[in-house]
Amino acid sequence: MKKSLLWMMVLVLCISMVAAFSLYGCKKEVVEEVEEEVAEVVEEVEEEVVEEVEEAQPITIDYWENFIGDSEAQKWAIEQIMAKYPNLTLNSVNYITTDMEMKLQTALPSGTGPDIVYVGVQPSILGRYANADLAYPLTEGVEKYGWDKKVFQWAQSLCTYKGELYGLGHEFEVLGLFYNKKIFKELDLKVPETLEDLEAVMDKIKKNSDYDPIFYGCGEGAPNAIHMYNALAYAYVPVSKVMNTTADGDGSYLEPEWKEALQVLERWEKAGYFNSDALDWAWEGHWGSFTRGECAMLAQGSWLFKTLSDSAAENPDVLDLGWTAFPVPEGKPFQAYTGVGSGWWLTNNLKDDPVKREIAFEFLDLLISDEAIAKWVAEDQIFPAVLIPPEVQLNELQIAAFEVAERAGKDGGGAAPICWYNSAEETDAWVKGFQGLLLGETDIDTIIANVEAALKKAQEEWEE
Amino acid sequence: MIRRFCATLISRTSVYVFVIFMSFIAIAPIMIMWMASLKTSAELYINPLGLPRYWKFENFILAWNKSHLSVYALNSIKVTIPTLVLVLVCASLAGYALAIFRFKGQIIILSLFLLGLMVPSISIITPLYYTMVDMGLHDTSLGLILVETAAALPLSIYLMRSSFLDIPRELRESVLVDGGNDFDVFTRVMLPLARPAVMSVTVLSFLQVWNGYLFPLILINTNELQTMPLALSFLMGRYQTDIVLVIAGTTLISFPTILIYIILQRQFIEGIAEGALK
Amino acid sequence: MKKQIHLIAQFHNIRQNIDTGFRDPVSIRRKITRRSVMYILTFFLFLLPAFGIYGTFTLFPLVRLFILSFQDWDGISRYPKWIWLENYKSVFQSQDFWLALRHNLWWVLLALIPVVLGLALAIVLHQSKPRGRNIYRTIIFLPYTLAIVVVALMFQWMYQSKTGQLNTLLRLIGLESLTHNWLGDPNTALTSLAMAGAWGGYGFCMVLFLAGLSNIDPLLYDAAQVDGAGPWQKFLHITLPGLANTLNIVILIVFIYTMRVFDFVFITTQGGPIDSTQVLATIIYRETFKYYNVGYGSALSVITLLITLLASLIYITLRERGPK
Repeated sequence: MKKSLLWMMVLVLCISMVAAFSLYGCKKEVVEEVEEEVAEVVEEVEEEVVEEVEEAQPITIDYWENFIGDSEAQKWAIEQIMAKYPNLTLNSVNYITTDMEMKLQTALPSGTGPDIVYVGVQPSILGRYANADLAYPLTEGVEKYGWDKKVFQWAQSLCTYKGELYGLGHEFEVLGLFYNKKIFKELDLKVPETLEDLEAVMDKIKKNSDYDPIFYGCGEGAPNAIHMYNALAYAYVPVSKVMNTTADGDGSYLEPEWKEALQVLERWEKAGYFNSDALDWAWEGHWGSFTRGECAMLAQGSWLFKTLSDSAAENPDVLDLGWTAFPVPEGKPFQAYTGVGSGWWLTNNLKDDPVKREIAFEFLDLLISDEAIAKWVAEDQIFPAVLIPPEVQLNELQIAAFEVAERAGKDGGGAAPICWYNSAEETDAWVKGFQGLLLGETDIDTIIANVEAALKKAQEEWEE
Repeated sequence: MIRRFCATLISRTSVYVFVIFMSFIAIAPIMIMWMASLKTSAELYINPLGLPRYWKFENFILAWNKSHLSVYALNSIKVTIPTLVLVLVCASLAGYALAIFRFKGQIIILSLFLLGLMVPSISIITPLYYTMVDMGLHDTSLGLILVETAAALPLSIYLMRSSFLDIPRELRESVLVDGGNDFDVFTRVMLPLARPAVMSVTVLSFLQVWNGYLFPLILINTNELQTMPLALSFLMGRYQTDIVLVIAGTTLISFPTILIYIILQRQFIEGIAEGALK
Repeated sequence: MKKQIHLIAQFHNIRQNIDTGFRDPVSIRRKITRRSVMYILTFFLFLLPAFGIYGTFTLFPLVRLFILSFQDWDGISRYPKWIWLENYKSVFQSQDFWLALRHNLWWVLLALIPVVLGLALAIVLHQSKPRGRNIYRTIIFLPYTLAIVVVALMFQWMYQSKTGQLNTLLRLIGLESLTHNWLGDPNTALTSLAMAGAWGGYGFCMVLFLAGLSNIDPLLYDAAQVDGAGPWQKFLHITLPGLANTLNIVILIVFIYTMRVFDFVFITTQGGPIDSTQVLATIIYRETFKYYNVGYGSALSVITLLITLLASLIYITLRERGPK
């Protein structure tokens, strides 16, 4: 009798605890909904009180970013805004992108987390949060600061969801081809102007030397492989098709040009133009082989200007850095990937706090102000997606990048980073495809079928 | 006679060879990492195995400063010590209860406690975060302490219970008959006898909390409250272009554990050994 | 331990063997039943702190996880949809689940290597007593004290095919043919990771076995020696049975931690190349945090939990009912 009583009481204890907490949790949700309705009414009254309140109370803004390297321009902007508002503390925290995405997914839906975020602005990230009403539209800032005239049009459309601008694109980037001038001089090579030239150059390097013609990184996440395919796809697929083969578009990977680009990649693999340890390299340090002078070329973009320039400065007798446009096949119109790497967006945590919102908008404007631009370009070697004021000096590589962008122009410059844009499933399908192709475990048609399936899924989900 | 001598010699030698080889394997990667953190980035690729040419000790200083390691280290201490105390108190009390008060349904409670070990932490991190938010404990040190305690409890309770099971019942009964209550039994009799188990729980929980990555990552949003393994993540993110810095950071982060381990190695090993086996 | 018990018994001034006859049995029973309320209350009070914390921060999220597994939710929109057993059906029908399960089980098999190594080392250190055995013991346990993040990163650098230390070493000693793309080849990636895990674990196993060995009565060995038993027989009939309890614990711990391995794979290969290192936990991560498929991830978590729990319970029952 004693023992079964004990047992029953234990059971009751368990169940009551569980019940208590679940009830507590449910109650909170109901209360929150009521609070929201009240808050909307109160907001209009608050607007008038904003000015006076701004000075008095201490304000904290949380800002999460995933910059690589000490970004001087960002530091400057933070100092400026904190100097202007003495009662403001802007906490900036740096997370790597995978950690950031995990944290955003747990923090934002529960109303906690950051107020300003710097991470991707594509449909698979910003698009999702915008659709779920967890991102705050930038309309007020656009009106106050005139961003719609300052930011590139295509950058704006990249970040527009549900008819409003949600993100400020940043890290304007151009994909091209790095090459080692020293190796080129040594083997008497000319900078390739067409894709056929490029193949000839790679062939010559392979036959006449020990250098790897071009680097290929296909490890975890296969980022370099994705860039390589990006370059090839932009060389073969018309930009209008590229911009339509997205989650919010209705294009398809079954179009023949996508396959053509893959076939070129396969051809280069079979010809042995790539390095032998491709599967070892994820993103970090994959340019090492290039900076050590072991391979002659690297298909990468302006985001590596600073890193590679620094390396070249440290080892001038091994690497003489050159960068050129990634060539397109003879006779095809010139196209290139020009896009934005990431961008700033505001979260819904600012919804009920007009004071913080004002300051957040001002902070964003500071980040793309003329002084900031000077710092972005000179010290961080990053371009904001705005017109660079003429007094800012550009170095040789940066001028080359802008020339490529201009050459690609309105009709030939695409702003969707292929493989990374639509959904994580599609990216994984591409990565598996690139790795499988290298290992000989899959073929092009299977790859196309898989990515097409992932794309269709993303497009369907977008409709909902 | 001589054959015997040779046989013994061979067996003794092979013993030494085996043990030395396994020790070498244990320490070689760690030494490689230490050597690597003293090299320059370029040298790392040219000379992976050898001694560093330039002995760049400033890598450590750079890694320390850039990752604000001092703040993180302090936070690790601030989180680990209360967790240890909490785990010890809760686990010994619960272990005692489960060892002494036997009844048929006990296996259910034991299984409930083991459930926490059966699922990867990544699974419960989202519901856990929402629970923390509901209770207002997200982004607080207290919240992290409580969560780490809960994560360390299953194994600790199991160990304490096993240890208490071995103590003869007569001791308890004698105290009770003498007019004491169970709490007296607990403090005066059981706890002193279970000292090895207490040490082992301390050691295992310390390692688990100090080295924990996922819970601090998701539950803490403020940089000032973050613990040491996250400093490594920060280095990997911000300074990934300078791999040697990351390696130096990795070395720095493993220093405290290695240091504490070397100082307390006797307790460490004996704690786990004696406590785990009952 | 025996000495302490003796002292405490003296302190309480009773004899070692309680003679139930020297006190009135009825009064004892009355004393104990009068305390039945106190009995239950004490039990709860003792259990409460642990159960309170554990219940709130582990059991309750598990309950929420269980509920989530019946829903279709992307983790960020407001209202999840109830789809009942659809998630479970998808899990069992997906190829990735079975692939990951196979990988976990293969890893469990490989995890027996550190167990065996630990056992061998413990026996060697215990019985042959080489000089400086404490130093060896200390060094061998060292890898276990490092954080998993640190170990994973270390091995990722060491396994690189061109510049990693392992291949460099092989080339140095002339075994160039053995160099391999350890983490990049789908055939070797999982085993390489498991070996890295073994490196961290064999010291831990050794220490546990050392203690178990010290509990075996050395007289048994002497008796066997007199009977003319050789070392192998001594091992089979004295050492192994004496270590039965320890073996139980070690295998259980190794099994449970291998089924829930995550950090190792996540930091190094993230499940690749071409899904050759996917384990259950990385699939859960991928579905929940990359594909925003929280319901599916939760169902997979519940299934993982059930598999691990069932296997552990079966193992415990079998061992407890088995030959003593």
